[in-house]
Amino acid sequence: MLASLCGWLEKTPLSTFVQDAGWVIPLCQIVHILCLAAVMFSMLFLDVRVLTGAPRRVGVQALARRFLPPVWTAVPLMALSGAVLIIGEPRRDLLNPVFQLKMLLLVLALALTFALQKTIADASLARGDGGEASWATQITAGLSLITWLAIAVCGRFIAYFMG
Amino acid sequence: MSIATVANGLQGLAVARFVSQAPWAFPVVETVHVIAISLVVGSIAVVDLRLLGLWWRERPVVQVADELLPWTWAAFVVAAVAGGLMFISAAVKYVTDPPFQLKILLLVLAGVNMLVFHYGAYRRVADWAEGRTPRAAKIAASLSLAFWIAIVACGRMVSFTTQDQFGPPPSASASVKAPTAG
Repeated sequence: MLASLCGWLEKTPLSTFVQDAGWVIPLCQIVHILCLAAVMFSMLFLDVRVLTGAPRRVGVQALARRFLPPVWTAVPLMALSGAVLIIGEPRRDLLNPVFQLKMLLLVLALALTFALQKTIADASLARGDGGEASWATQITAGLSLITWLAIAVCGRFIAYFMG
Repeated sequence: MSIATVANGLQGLAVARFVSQAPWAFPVVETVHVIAISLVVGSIAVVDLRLLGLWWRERPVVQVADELLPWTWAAFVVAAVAGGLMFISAAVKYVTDPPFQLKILLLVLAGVNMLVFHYGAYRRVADWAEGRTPRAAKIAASLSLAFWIAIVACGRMVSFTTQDQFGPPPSASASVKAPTAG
């Protein structure tokens, strides 16, 4: 079924345009990497601060308010640039086991990030300070850290696995 | 001793041959490089956007810089080591590759920009009034953002990836490609 979807996608005018115009794929990849910088740094910085549990001048709640919105902006941009790459080379991605794993991990990472945002907000409502993270928040942050890193690894390894 | 001789020597090192020949070595090093560079660019962008007054304005510049620049340096060391390993694995090819040459030039320019800023305007950072960043700092921040975006773009255009993206059509079974052959 996926293979026939690829066959259909490849023949769409949008796909042939992406295939013929040599600059579209590199441009989308550059946009994808720049957005990756926003997502990876924001998530790792927030996750590590939650995990080390050492509130400095700024509490976890303030950090979450500062660093999660760019993630929610960059992820749709990554989906868009990624979609163009898929349309241009559907077989390279959709039939690729590493790509499929990456998409599963992405669903998990988005759920974890949403959960992290919620537990940080709830905890700070309950205590009113937002300084230290609860153990539940710390576990969520740890899982989020591992999952986002795994997504980046999968992203690079797509190029080395051809389905 | 010419650059080509040096490149040839580097490429002959045991560690360089390991990266170019061992299965998985290049993809693993490349993945580490991409993750590290994403942290370098992400953390630098936060500081630059704060200098431009577009981000995290409720905190003084000096606090933002003190908190984020250790991340930048740690990630930069990792990115440089991984990048160096990729470079020596095919040094002869890279030294003549225009995107690679431009990338190194841009790295030098980004470094000079950082030094001029650090030993210039930044020395009086404690005196910067609330929300008032001097023009020199804003120029340095704009240049820094431009250089790093261009460095990422050049990194993508370095010719090792073209082999991945525009190579032969995928075969029926999963296979590992060696993008550094040559």
